[in-house]
Amino acid sequence: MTGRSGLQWLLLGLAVALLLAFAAFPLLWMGLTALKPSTEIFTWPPRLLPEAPTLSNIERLFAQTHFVTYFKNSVIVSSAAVILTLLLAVPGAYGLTRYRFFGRETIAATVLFTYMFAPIMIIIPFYIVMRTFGLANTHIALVLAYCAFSLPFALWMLRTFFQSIPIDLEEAAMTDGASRFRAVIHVVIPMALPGIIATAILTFILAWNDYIFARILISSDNLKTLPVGIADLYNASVIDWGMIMASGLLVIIPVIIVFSYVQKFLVAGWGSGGVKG
Amino acid sequence: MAEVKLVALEKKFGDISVIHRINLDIADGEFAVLVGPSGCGKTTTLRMVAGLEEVTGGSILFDGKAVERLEPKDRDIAMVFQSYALYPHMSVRDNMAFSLRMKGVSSAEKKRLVGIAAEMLGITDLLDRKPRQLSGGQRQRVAMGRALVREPKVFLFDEPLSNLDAALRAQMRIEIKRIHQRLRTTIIYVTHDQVEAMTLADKIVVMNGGHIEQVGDPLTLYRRPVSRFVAGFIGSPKMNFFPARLLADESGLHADLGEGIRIEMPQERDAAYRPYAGRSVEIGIRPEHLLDDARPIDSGAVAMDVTVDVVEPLGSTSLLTFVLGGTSYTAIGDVALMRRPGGRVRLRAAAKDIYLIDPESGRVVHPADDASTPVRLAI
Ligand SMILES: Nc1ncnc2c1ncn2[C@@H]1O[C@H](COP(=O)(O)OP(=O)(O)O)[C@@H](O)[C@H]1O
Ligand SMILES: [Mg+2]
Repeated sequence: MTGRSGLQWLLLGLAVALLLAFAAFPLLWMGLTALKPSTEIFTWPPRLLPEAPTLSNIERLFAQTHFVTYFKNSVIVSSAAVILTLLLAVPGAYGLTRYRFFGRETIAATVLFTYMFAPIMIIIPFYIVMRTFGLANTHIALVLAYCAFSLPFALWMLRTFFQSIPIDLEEAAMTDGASRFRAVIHVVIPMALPGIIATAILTFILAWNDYIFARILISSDNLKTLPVGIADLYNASVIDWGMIMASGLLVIIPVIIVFSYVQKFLVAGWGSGGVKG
Repeated sequence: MAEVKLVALEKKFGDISVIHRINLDIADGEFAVLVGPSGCGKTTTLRMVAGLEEVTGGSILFDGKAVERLEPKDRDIAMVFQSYALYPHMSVRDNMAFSLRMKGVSSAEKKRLVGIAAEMLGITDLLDRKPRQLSGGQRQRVAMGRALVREPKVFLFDEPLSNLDAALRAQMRIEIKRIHQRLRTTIIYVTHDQVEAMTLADKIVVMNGGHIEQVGDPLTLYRRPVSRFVAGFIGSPKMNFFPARLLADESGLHADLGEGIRIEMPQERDAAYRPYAGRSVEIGIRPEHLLDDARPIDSGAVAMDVTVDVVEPLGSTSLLTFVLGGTSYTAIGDVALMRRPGGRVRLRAAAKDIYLIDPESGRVVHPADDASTPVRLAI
């Protein structure tokens, strides 16, 4: 990376700044607006920084809405979706890489194909199925929907990770006295951990951000998740932008925390060195 | 420790037969080396013994007990992989302790056994490292250490030294031999390198195309190869094979190699060789028996006059390459004689060091009452 002139650095810096502004400015605006009193939000010309920062928006959010319930529902549903997806995808993807059976490649390809369907295309039939089983307006229906939706991608991604783990390692574990199950637990899963974490994050985000399934499958207010709950704040006769921005802020904070904590797993992996080379 | 028997062992991948009903007996504590060219089925055979590959037919017996249907974990074997297959997320210590952990050995005992094995291999100060922090030679030692912490029935090695440089390979060969002399555990060792096979084995098993060509101790294979394949495979540099015609006249049998070269066959082999009189045969002579020097050769020497093509000095001796009938052959020369390319030399060999090969069957024709060591032939 040597040999760049000052001008090139300047241009590069500018490009980065531009991109950053484009991506981060709305977030910044949301965060700052959340801290402004209602009177300041509509001042003209608009001002970036709140003149009299306040937590009243957040206070109102907790006092006047079911934000805490929505938040709790989102955490429960998203976590359950992650757990169920991993429970199905890890053994499924392992089977797709380690066992030979009729139609294996076709199955693997078809799995990805199902991922091409937009949620909107399957939501009505899915709703009818859930209603038939008496699961409409339950968290179980949401968890099943998220799992069904993230499973193809999860299978595909984990399959790639499992494929990259040399079969020698499992065989070594088996000659060392491990059953196949224990070889998977002690050798395969630790090595596939970056992939498993990435899959978990993507599933979590999909569930956490989903609006459309939650909108259609859930009708009781006390079962709503955050995206639907927040959207319903618009339905009041006076739209309380300060409160909406405050809720937006609180929604992304957990995501940012999770991300900053696990990204080191994603980047680092375990490195090479087990098998020669 | 165990005695290992393969009985009519067979392996097919789909319709393709890779191992054709092989039989093999390996005694308790024996160091057996499976050797042969790449693709001959050595690894497949070893993996069947380990339980990593299902057998298509036949049986594998450890101490008389059939194990071919058992899972690898229930066979009590320890294997060293060509790729080493170290667990990258575990320290050297945990790699070595893994099998003990699977057996539920206590921490104190684990520590003791890992310590002993690490000591034996000189890797005690590497125990806290991860595999990626090790050199190739160190990884190889750890891979061995992982097998040595246990007392398995059989050690299985699949080309464990093939990723090392020549100097390290020679050193590890000696260490493996020393370890076997100390532990006396049955070893099945796979290699494509005949030098490794000769130096390590109590018993060499030469494989070719999914068959066993010959089984025997190193010197038997060297002195009494049953086939052209074994004769060419064992020994370095490779044995010379001269196409010839075997002719009979009033003085006995002789081989005509063309270009006026005639090799008299010793009287005592007349009975064995007589059926080939008048036919095309091959004459096999090892380079180290085809000498260009003044040393006397005791009995029935044969000689051939050839033109030197290339001289490769090795220090104490030199390799002489010469061409006959368009094919290159090798002989050993005396460096003191200072041969030059293009010079004529007289190469000599003792009659006892000459082999006659039936080119149709590829078998070496051995006189029945030869004074050499007895041979066990593969069926
Ligand atoms: N899993 C497999 N599927 C199909 N053919 C195989 C498989 N493993 C090995 N073979 C074939 O079996 C033969 C013997 O292979 P291998 O035992 O690895 O030979 P070696 O170890 O002596 O080099 C080769 O021809 C190889 O192509
Ligand atoms: Mg091999």
